[in-house]
Amino acid sequence: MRIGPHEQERPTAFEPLRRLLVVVDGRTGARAAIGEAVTLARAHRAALWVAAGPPIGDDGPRVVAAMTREALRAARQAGVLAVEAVCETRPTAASLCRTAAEAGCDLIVVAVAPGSAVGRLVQGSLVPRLITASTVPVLVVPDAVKGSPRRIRRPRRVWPVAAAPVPPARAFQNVFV
Amino acid sequence: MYRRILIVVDQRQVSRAAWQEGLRLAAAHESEVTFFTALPRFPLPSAEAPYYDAGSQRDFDQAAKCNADRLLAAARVAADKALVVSRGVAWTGEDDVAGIVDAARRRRCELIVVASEGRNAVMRLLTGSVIPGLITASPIPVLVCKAAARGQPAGRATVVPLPPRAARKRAAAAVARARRAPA
Repeated sequence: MRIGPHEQERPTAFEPLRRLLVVVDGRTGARAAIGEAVTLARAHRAALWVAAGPPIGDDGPRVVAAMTREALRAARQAGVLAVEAVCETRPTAASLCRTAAEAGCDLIVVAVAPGSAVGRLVQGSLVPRLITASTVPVLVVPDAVKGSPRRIRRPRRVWPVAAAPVPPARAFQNVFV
Repeated sequence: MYRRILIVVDQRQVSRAAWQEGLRLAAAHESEVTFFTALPRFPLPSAEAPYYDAGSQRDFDQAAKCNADRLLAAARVAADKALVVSRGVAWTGEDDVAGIVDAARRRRCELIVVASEGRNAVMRLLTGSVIPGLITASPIPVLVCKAAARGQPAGRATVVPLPPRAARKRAAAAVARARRAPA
């Protein structure tokens, strides 16, 4: 007889995610990644690090900055501790992975644009490079246009805060990696 | 959040990273897990390929099914230990990516977990990895795991509590340095 999760007390040894890194580029599809990351962070009571990805186009840096602010605002509205990760180098896949590793992130969340695998290679997409370079799992979120937008649901159970002490929100005003 | 998770398992050792990460998430989200494995296809003889005796197709299929059952049973034992409801699916067909996406759609999964060996993107394409195709075809998020999964200790990130004005200055200086730095 198989034991279901509701028939026995759940062990407390499972590991919730403690920190997530979401990569924000200037595309509108990055909003899907932001929503997914905020939902995950809220469910796990994790801290969310928002990192700017490589900007696209001439207006890219301004759009990326606006979207980063949007991500921080969305996270704070959802009650998630969110900080902006400022890299001292240009945002490449290697630098983003280094940021995630140094910050102790458990997961990298990134959006992927519609297109074929060969197209992503030719266009120099960030996603294959992140998958190659990252030592932590990478959550690839498709653009919201592929399906209906995901609803953000409250978790059924509030999990205990991660063992690692998280500094108060006031101290997270700026984080330099 | 994720009510149903599909985990792609195969005979590679790195596939266990996907089990573990998927089961951790499933335990945290009280999700139901579907273990998916694709059966290998019978190698068709080709004049240009070196001779390889795979036996009869029937024997090959039986051995493949036996291996898949064993793999799925091991995965379900791991799920039972994590107190996660699970089921196994052994699939056979031409296109593994289509099979995975179809299985996820049929079971209304909200996340696909797959393992990566850490090759570069070109090698993933050339060796027939399902990851590029899954990223292209999947309408739901895909979690790509590696053998060295999470659990790394926090590194050298420095949290600098600063008054807002000084913080803005330092952030602007860091961004300016980043823009000046060569790629």
